[in-house]
Amino acid sequence: MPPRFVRPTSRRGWLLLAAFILIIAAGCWPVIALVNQPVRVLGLPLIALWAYGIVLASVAVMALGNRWLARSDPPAAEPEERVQRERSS
Amino acid sequence: MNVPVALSITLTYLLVALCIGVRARGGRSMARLEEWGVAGRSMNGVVLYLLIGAGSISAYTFMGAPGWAYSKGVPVFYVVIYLSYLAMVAWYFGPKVWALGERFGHVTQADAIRDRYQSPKLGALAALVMSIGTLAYAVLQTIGAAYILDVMSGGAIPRWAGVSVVLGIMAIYLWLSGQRAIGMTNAFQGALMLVIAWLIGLWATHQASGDWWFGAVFDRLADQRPGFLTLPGADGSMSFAFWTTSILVSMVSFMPPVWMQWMSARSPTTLRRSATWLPTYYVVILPMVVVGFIGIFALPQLERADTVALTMAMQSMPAALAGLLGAGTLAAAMSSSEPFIHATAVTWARDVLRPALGLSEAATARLARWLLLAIMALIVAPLAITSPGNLVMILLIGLGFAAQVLPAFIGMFLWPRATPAGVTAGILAGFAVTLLGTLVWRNPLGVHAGFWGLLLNLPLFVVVSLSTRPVAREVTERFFAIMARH
Repeated sequence: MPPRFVRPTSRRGWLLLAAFILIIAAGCWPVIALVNQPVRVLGLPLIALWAYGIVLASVAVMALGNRWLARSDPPAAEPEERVQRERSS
Repeated sequence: MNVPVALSITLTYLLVALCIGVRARGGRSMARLEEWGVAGRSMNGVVLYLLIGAGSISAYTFMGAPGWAYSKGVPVFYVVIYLSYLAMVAWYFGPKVWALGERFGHVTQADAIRDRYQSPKLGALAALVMSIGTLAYAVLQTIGAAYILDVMSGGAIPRWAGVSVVLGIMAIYLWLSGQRAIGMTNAFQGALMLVIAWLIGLWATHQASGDWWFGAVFDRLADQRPGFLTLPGADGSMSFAFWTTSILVSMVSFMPPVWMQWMSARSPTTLRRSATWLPTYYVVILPMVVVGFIGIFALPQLERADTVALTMAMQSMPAALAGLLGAGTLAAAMSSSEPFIHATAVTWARDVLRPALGLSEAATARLARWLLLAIMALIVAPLAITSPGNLVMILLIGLGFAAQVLPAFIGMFLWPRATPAGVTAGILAGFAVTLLGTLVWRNPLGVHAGFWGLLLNLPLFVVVSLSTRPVAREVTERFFAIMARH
């Protein structure tokens, strides 16, 4: 059991945590003040494009996390396996 | 507009939803609460993606979001950002919630709270208080659904009849198929919303500007109403402080139905994959927001901003498109209303009445299904029909409370030293501050009331936890052993 506060246990875990924090910071002040301009990019207000940039960034970071987890974890038991395991135990 | 065509399309949607919801049962027995409540933890990735996506979008997409664009402008995009953050929250915490549920048999959020803090009273308190916001939300969605039927029928279906029809249909498939009905109908509703929103948005853009992309709409706004393109928005209400704190408070609000949706996943991997792609679903908001922006010029004298899309549909869209918009809005309202009503029935049965009455598992499952009908008939329907003026205020208070339960989750996932006394003190103090900041001094200094609540809640939670006795070591050990694996 962790003594104080649950923390990442690997370098990749820390990197993911840092990426999550950066993405959250990207949607908040003061970063949002930097993109709060009355300009349009690709036809959209900059702040709208920024919001969808955050969408893409969050998908990318979670997809990266999935890849890292798949490499480090044994495959999770699917329902059929669980049922068999419960029957045999 | 040709009312019979528009209405028949909207009603056809209702019939299809009913058929899908009834068939979702697939011959399974719903006698176990784990089956009726969380679909036997069996949902695949695609269903889960649409279930969570559609459930979180609500009638807001078709009414609220265009309304915000119409009255405020780009502040509406804070929703896209916080929903993406909620997906990251689901990615990180969802698999842990799933694993706890599978290992210890939790079905509801309050179940997990009760187990972690070894306190049936804290579990019951969380269940009851969280249901204030949950039910207010369900009632507002039901009112939205009835309003659509009223508009699409040209006033022939009054609110009481619309409420009865919508709740009646939901009651049938929820009774028969429980969470499986929610999963399958939300998947259908989610896909329908995505298609309809883009169809309506592109059509309205083409009508307004002659182009198929939104650029010309924003060019005109930049020329004539530039205040709509930056914060604090056209009405000056969305300061940086309110934008930021609204996003943060919404991000840490763990609503009970979402918790149950996580537990419905087939496996932690399925849930993680769904959460990964979930933010992409929120492209559904963009075209409807553009409809709101178009309304600034097309309907300058509108009395109620949230009717902008429907008013535009009734005035200028072909009947088939207006009917599809009606179906899409109805889908959005129902896909959010049904999981909230269902989650309340399950948690009242399992976390409040079962410990109070000493019920068996089978009796609790039966009771939950009857409670669903009782909640619909005795709470949701009367409130939706009479629509009391303070309903939105009740919702705000309820949602404000949702964020204040954060210490309970910190103690569950991150900090073993958290104690029941610390959690209770933090929740009560945070809730009191949120209440004051909602009712008395509205969002002091432009900061979200829930954020002020957390500023008191979290330090108090830590201090009281450190000065009170934690629960038995074996409890925290079994919880945090799972945290370490997921």
